[in-house]
Amino acid sequence: MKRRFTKARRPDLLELRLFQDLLAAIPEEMGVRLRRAAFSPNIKERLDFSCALTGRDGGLVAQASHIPVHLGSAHLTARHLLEALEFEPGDMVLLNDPWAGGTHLPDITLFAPVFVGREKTAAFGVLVRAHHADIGGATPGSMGPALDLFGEGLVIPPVKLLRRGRLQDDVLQFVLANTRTPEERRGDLLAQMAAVTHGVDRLRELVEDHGTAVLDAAVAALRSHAARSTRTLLRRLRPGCHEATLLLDGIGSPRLWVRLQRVGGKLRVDFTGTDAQIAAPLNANRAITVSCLFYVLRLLLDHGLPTNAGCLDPVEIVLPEGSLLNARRPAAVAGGNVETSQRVVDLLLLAFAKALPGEIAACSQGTMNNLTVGGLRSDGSAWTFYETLGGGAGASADGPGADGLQVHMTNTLNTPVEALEAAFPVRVTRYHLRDGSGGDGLHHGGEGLVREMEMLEPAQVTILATRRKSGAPGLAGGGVGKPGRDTLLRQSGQATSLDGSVHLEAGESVRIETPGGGGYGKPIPRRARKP
Amino acid sequence: MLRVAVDTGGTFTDAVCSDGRVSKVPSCPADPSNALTAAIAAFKLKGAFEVIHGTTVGTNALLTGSLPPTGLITNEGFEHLLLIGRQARPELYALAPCKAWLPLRREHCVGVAGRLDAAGHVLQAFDAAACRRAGRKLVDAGAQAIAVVLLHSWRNPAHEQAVLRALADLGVPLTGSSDLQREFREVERGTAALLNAALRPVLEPYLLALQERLAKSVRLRIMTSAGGTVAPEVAAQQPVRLLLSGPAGGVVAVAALAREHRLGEVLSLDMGGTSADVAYCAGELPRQSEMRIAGLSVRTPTLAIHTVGAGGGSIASIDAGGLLKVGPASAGADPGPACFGNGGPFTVTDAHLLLGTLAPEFFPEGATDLDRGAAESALRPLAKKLRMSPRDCARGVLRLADSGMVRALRFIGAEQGRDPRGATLLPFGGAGGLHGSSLARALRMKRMLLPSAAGAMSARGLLLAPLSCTRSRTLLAPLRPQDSARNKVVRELRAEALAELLQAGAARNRVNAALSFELRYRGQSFEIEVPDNANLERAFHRLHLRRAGFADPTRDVECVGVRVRLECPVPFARCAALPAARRLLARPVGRTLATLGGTGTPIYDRELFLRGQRIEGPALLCERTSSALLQAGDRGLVQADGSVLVVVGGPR
Repeated sequence: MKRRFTKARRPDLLELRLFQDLLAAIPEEMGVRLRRAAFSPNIKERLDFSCALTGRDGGLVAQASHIPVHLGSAHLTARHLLEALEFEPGDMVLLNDPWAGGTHLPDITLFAPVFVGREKTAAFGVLVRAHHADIGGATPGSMGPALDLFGEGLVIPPVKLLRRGRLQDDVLQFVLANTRTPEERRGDLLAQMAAVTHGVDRLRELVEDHGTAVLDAAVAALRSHAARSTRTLLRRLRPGCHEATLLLDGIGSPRLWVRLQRVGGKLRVDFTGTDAQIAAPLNANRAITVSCLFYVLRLLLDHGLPTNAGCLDPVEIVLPEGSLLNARRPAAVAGGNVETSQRVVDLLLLAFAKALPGEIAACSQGTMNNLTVGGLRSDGSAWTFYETLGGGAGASADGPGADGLQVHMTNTLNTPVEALEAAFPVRVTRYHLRDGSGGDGLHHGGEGLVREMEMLEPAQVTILATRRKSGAPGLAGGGVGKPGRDTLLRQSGQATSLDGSVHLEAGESVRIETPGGGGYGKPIPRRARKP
Repeated sequence: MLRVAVDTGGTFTDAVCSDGRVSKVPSCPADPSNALTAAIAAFKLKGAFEVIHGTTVGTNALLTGSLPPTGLITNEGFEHLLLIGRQARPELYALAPCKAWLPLRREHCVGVAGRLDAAGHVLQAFDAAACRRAGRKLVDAGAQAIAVVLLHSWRNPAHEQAVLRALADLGVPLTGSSDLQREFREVERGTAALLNAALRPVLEPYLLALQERLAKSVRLRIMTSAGGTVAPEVAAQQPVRLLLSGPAGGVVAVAALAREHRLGEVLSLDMGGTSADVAYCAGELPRQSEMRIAGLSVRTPTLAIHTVGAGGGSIASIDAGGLLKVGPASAGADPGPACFGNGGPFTVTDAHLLLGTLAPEFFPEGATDLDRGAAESALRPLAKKLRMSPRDCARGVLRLADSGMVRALRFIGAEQGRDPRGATLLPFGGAGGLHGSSLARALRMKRMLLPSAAGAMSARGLLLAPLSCTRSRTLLAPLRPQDSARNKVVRELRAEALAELLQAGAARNRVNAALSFELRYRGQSFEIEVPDNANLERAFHRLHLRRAGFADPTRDVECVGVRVRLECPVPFARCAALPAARRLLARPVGRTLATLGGTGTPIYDRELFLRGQRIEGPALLCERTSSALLQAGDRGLVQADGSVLVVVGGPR
């Protein structure tokens, strides 16, 4: 008798560990495949993508350590698709609509269900989300200051890119016609498809080896194991309500608010006091806010634990609709992923710092400093590049914050200066740590960066960043980090502050100074420092 | 001329002589040259001979953070280039993230005036006097070596050369980034230069001392990460090329065995006491131009070797979530596994001992009295916490160790765009053979080759490694069938490499050349290395299809770089063939004791094997340096050279 027909029993603790390894290996391999095949520096060099597996109910089963802001929301995507669409074996869906399983428009998601035998419902889902360098809209890079979603680029509801294994070329052409860099998009999408296919093949192999009954039992057991670990964490929280408030820069400096409270065996995370959505691209949809919470829990849980939907099971989220953190369609959301998400992490960490005193680090730079530069070459073809800049990390009880690195919701690599200057008509004129930008304290906050770039041809420069008005708060008496600053250096020698999107002539420069991290602990008075 | 290979490992120093003799002495971390000379002395060689050495002196200094403080001179405005790195944090989920360690302090980062554009043209002139002052200041501030990393120096090294000249009389070791690699991407090239500068004060004295301790008539060669050897002078100047000196030997030996047995694609698994190194060879050595080590990306020619923290000494423990965990922590040589009787923790080796898959009478010297009682008492609390029987728990430890390695093997398979199912597994190292059979099953592999003297494979690889030199340069130009500029670069690289080989004593008429190109579709930022070929473009499309899953012949192809590798092969010493067997079924010499239940495993002594003999699993094949396990359903056939070819069968 073949093994797959044996009756599944609850896997023991050892088998759980083995299945955790088996499942976690798949998104890792998918990431390797995607990276090997992708075209754009954004995916290849900066690794701005994520791979995940979901289960029968759409819950997250496994994910690789890629970009956190993509990851925490894979289950929302899968659930939406499984409810909204009829799937057949060999189908693959393409989407970016933030209200239909997406995050912000440049993140294009491919999802494929995995069917087993003659089952009518998919046993697994495979998901790859990647940030594409352009998806249309008013500014190159699709990360500009739009008032609503339609100004930000092409909105793609879930459509089938593959039907029963056949590529729907008209769908692909439709998408490509709406971006400034169709060749690159095509290459990236093909690479993304190859990665999804690899995941589907590997899951089929797993099913063949172990049978669905055993796998289903393992997935369920891993999920309750993760939930158990979250509950263990919750028991360590100080009793009572823990609140935190932070302001976001931009129109009206909207206020973010959270309250943590243990209710029964669950943690209630209540964002009710958060301001309403705004007519600027800093709104977050539900997927982003949930991702942030997921990330913060992951930070606090033991590292060897499985990362799956169970981590969130003992958590109840109160997220009023129409607020900045759960905006209604068609709010502009480009910066929700990259800016507001960073602030939500800071907000949650500030609240957890009250519940777990001494264990949490001070706030980090709290922005991704999204810089997009683009223009037209003499032959009429468009060029665009997008980069995010690191900054200071918050200091902790253990030591100073790290300098100039990507914090929290992103972990992309920068583009090498030599690669940038070889590919685009720009010249980097400064790139170093920003002296004295970390907050003071017993332990200093990490330093921000300075990056200055001269345009060799006319170009449109767009900056999407926050923490420009107030710096990263310190903790336990530590000082505030320096806020960031964006400066235009005109040919006339005049330096003006840059906000949003501007046109630069050849010879003009932009300088981005990224925020420092918050300090930790009261600084030791100067005279007491040295014996 | 006789040749001796010496591989310095963490616990033992192995030596192999080209006449077939093998010696093994305990390593001496305080002065590795002691163990090296002792291992050679065992052969009692007289007159002229050659010593090929695989060293981890530099690697250990990097991994333990004990490289000397080093200065960095770079462009003004880019002082912290290497401290910033690529901005990413090594660990995704960390409350207080930190960057990978570098032997570089912030006060040792200096910028100098002078700038080139992307085409290598001078934008701003260079100031030699300022540079000299900066260098002096660095040395006064405690820098013991200096690296020079200027933007676009791969395109035009003139400024870097000028800086190096200005610093020449400072009396500290210097390294210019374009001297090591004329390839683009400043952080990876720069990190290589910085590590090289920092390694020189460590490696130079060591290699000098070695040469002094060996007689004048002895010629010394050092193994590089790329699977070739270099003269000690080159190694002392470019120690960054030695970072994977140890593991590279094993992969070279595997590739040679694969050729000799016509195995096609092989997965190499070198499992020792603390970690396992895996690599994928498809006919050729898996070469790549960048390595990841200690959290850093370093641009230097290397073999593609992936390391996982799974070895015989890997510790079994329970993680915060209450699940069993094996490794990456290792019991090392002290206290060692629980069965060594020094109060050590329960490890993979202990699990083998109790399950009867280890024969203590064949265990490496120095550890003959294995203490089963101590292993059992170390196991008991683990099993109790997991609510499992001790037997299930011990088996679980082995399965978990396997699952970590399976993940690593799959990962490198995916990285190379290859499917392990069609490959042959080649396990070696002290513990590799014990896990080969179960790994092959998990990866659905059908064949496995168990080499003889599996504990000394790395040393054997050193004997087989050719004297070699790799030179590369970034071009960033459209790929054309004929390209005179490209040909000119190829000629230059070939001349440079040849000069290095001749200097090291190579005979000109025995030098082989291999030429390859790094190609990509225009707009991509990742290259595929394509061996020289009449139709480069077609070969690239084909390779891209295999590795990336698609190809697009309508797209322009770009030639990112060119790589020239010159090699002077060494005489290949074939070992004496075993006599043919008359009895076709090998006979066991005993049976292991399985204290946790079960009947134990039949033990076979590999010294007694004859060509053509068969072994049916379950079987434990033992030799002095290693043991290998065949599971039920496996069938082994003894080869002429003493290795055993196994058809992996039976239930998974």
